[in-house]
Amino acid sequence: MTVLPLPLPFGDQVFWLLSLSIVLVVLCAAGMITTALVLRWRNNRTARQWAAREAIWDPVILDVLEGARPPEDLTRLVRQGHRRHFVTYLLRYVRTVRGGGREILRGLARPHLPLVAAECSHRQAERRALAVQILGELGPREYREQIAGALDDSAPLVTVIAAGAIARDYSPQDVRHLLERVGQLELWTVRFLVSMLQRMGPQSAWAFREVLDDPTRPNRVRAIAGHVLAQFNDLPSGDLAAGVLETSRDPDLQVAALRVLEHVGTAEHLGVVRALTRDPEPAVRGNAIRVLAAVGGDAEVPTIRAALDDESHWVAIQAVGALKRLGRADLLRALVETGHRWATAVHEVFLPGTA
Amino acid sequence: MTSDTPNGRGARVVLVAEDDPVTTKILLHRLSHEHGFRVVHADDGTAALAVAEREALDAAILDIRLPGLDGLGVLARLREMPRYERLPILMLTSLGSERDVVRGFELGADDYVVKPFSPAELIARVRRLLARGETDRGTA
Repeated sequence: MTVLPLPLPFGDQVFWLLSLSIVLVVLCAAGMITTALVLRWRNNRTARQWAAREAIWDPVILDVLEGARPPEDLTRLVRQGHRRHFVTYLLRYVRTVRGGGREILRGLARPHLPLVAAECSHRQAERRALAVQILGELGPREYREQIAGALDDSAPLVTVIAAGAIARDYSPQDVRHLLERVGQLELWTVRFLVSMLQRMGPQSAWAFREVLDDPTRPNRVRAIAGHVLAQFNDLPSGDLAAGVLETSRDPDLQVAALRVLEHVGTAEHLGVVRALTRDPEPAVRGNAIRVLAAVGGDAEVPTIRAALDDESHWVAIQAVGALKRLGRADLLRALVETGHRWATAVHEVFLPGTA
Repeated sequence: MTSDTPNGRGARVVLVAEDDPVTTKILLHRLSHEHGFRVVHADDGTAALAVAEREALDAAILDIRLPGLDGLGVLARLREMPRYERLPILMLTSLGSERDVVRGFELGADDYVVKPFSPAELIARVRRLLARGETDRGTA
């Protein structure tokens, strides 16, 4: 009996091609695994080396910061090839201490900072950002120009690090330049940018006033300036904010201007604020109600009370908070007793402990 | 230098509840080497409470931003323990966290220091709190 070979569903060429592909995939996978293992081994080895070096530096730096040993005792321990690591090490300390200790750390870093400054033009944005960060912490005065120059970097990460460094060590020369760049930092929230910029302190308020008052600036940037001025409780900003409310229809900018008035507004500003309690934007209406409570008095109660029936829950809650701020617990209790739609919230949140 | 030891148990015991390694190193070095305190360290809130149960503390330095149970939680729990009702407690807080500071005082903190801090100032504050604690005990 003759056994016939089973016919293959594909030709020899396809068979070899498939086999070759499988071998290639296996080789690639093996290569990737080997690379990952080698990289991990190298990282672990570097971490061990760094830890060993830092274990030598640690007791000395602590004595130097304490004033028990001169800085030279530590400098002597830093070898030529370890200078970059030493600067990164100092960065961790300089973020923790202030006062005389910070100046000691900056003095220790000074001879090594040219190495770092060279990295400000590195092709990788992360390296440039780290370099700017180190210079900002360890050499903010000596490298002021490089840090300010980094505001023009093409990478937003570098720009925001430079902005943070400038905000931390306020310099009147750079503040305008910094505010010109804020509009480009679109990846970061307004809250983050406000928090960063307010570190410059009330001495920089003049620059933020310029921005808030300038209609040629983007609304987002003007709104950020408004929020910063509100944090500063900057009195001269009150009139500027009222002016913004009369001319701008941008809700974000209006909210920022209202925040300014909530902090520093006066009775003269209430006219424009009252009109905004009927604005189509709930955020504007709610913030206008807050201003009425902060700046106005009992005369504003009818307007605030009307806002309790606002279609937006958020606005109504602002009205409840405003009545509490004005000390009108009687009105809030009346809400609870009449079974108003906010009765439960008022009872649990604004009048806790009342029967 | 060794600190005075009014409790008769040897060096005074200070709890440092802090998760940042550099801050911890600085505090441990200053408090133990320079001022002779015995420092017990915890890097999270739960561990801090365990240390407080185990040791007889003379003072505590609590970072507000601790992992797990935060510094304010630790502070509240310490104040609930009768033996720590009057323990001098100093809070470490970040710049711009006034709300945390106010909350800390409401819960019974004695003082606070903003990070980044001056180690010399922090130690001076701890020593002052300890001295005041001594005076309180003496007049009680």
